[in-house]
Amino acid sequence: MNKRCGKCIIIGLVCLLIVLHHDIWNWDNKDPVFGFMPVALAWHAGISIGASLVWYLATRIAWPTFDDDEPTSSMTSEGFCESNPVEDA
Amino acid sequence: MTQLIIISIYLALLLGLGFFSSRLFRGTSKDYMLASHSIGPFMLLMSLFGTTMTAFALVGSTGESFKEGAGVYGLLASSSGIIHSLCFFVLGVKLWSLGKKHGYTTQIQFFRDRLESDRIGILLFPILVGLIIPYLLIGVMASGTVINSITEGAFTTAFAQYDYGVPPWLASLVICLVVLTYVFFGGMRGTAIANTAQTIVFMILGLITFVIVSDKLGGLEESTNKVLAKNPSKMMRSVDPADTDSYHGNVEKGIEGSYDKWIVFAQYEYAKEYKGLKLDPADEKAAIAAFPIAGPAGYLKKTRGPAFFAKKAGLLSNLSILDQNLAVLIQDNRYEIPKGIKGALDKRISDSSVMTHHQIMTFPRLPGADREGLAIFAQFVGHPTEKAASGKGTKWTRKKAKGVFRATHWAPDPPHGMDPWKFLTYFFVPLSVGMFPHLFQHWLTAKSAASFKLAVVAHPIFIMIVWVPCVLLGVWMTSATDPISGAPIIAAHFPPNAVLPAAVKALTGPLMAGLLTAGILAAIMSSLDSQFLCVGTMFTTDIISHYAGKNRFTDKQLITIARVFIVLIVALTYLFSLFEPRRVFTLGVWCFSGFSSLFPLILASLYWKRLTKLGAYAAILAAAGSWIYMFADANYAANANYTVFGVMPVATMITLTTIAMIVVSLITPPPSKETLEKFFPAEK
Repeated sequence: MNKRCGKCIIIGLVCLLIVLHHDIWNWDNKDPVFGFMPVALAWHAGISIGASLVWYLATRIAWPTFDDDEPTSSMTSEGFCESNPVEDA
Repeated sequence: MTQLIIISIYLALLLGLGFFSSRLFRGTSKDYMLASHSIGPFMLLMSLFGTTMTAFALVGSTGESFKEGAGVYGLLASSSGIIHSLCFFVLGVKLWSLGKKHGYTTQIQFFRDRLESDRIGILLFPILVGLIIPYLLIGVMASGTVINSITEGAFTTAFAQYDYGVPPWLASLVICLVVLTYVFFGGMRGTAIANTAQTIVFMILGLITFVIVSDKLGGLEESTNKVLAKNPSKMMRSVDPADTDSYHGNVEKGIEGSYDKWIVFAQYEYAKEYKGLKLDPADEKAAIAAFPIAGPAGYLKKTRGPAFFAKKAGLLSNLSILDQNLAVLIQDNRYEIPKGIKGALDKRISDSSVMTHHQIMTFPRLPGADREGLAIFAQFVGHPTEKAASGKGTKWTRKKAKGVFRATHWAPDPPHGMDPWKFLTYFFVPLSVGMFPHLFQHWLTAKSAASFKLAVVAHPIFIMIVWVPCVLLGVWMTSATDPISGAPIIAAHFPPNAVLPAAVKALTGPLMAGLLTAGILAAIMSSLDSQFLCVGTMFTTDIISHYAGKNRFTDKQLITIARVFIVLIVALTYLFSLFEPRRVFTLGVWCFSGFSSLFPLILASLYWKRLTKLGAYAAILAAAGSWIYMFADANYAANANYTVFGVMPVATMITLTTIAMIVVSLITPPPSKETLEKFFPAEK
């Protein structure tokens, strides 16, 4: 799949999430899901999970590339580079 | 005292972390401000998340769902899951790339370059710093409230006027000093380490507390069932018929409305005070004895009993319409009759038609009116660990006296749902992330563009992990009762900012309460630190170095200048925090709206070649002008339900900014070829 197609898929999925977010059909539903969670909360927790999946897909099929995106040094266990990777511009 | 010890240990550990990170400091201003672009995926995720989740997410979300119900999650949390990651993806990665390529440290450097305008910095700098101050204020205010609530009774004799706990002004001051210290020692690297550690702390402790609290309330299902029985509207976004009946009454079902009952009480109090009504002592005694509900310290019996007797006996029937309106306004602490004459009355108070509750609510409550509770219930107030004179329970805190006053004096809140348009336009609020200067700085710390991937993917799930328990807790607290006394744990009209600490204190032991407070403070401080660092960076980079010349000051001097400016801004914020507090959630939404109104500018500067310098000026002026006008119109955040044409003010702000930016850009000369090639290189 080329990147342009990937971007279109992600744009479509984000639009779908935005539409699903405005869940007018749940407005007067007070029934708890799993016996304790209000629908208004459960539905939107689902939206959060959905968003995470969409963004995962985005990192796979629509992630931009940059010339300077290569790490220049290895990581230490603290999450820092061992050497200064960038000179002052 | 246990809570205070735990909080002190936690703050000491943080200071230790600051000292530790200072050992990793490389001594350059670049390392101090951007950690030398060395932050990997995990720390980037934790620091971005910790920075965006502040008092707003914990204290604000619990308080707001207590007021507005379960729909609060949809208002901001799920939309943030979509929008924040979108901003990281669409703006963050691209700005990181440009920043790394051209050596930017701040947003203003980028805008100056992209818009070919030096003066744009002069316009943007005060706006960005001015918007950060309310954001800082949220954290500073909330930390004071939380520590004071949780440490009530920690001292034997000191701080009696603060319920023998740490005074909020002192607590806020200590938090500011701790954050300042570790930011000063560790710079951006220290901030990133502290953010990561604190984010882990508040997520883990939050979840543990949630499990304990729900268990104390009788379990997940039991807690929700109580809400369904007592406040079903809090479970959804419209009004449940049961709540309508309870508030308005239902003749067919034989339900008397709570608002009508309250009006009788208001009219009786008014007639006593202003019309010389006095019941026969024997009648009054019988009326008190006949009233079925005692209320706190028998107060409902004493006040409501005679009121209903007077109503039945027709003693309130001679009140004019003006008197009836004045009665409810005064009882609800929304109005005071001016000394002297009737002619000076507010013109909005009708003398020809009875005002609706909605009309009454357009009068803001008089600040500090609940202090009257301290005089009424003075005999019950004392040290919260001392036994009450009646032998039942302990003495009341001053907060409780004020709370009982509010719950027994003020009108019941009318049940209300969420307006779908308002809900829809809340979607614009999280766009603020695109323009937060402290997030821009965090983005630039990334080691590579790929470091963003984890943050983009995990951010919505992390929001869910933090917000779902907070919102559930807020909803449950509307109906939760003390397992022993059966009294509500959180009374009506409780200050929203204090719902979370009050619930934790009431339902957990001192150890857990102390640990959770440490967790709440972790969330607050993990935002404050980035914001502190950011204002210092902006001042040295965009003002000092820019105008005095890059080589005018040494790195050491620049760091000192940054620190002095940070102290000045923190001192200013601290002073503001000493004034009348606003709802954390409301203040947060105003602050975010201001940043969101500038979102079109950052988006266009990255993706629209035709954006011009004058178009950008027009956008900034439209955003600032509309924000200032609406903020003032909303009585500086005192009106929590302020909307413009029925939608959130941010929607209007963004629309105005976008129109101004597009129209002015199209009628002014496009940017130079060099600038376009620099920022929009041909794709390979």
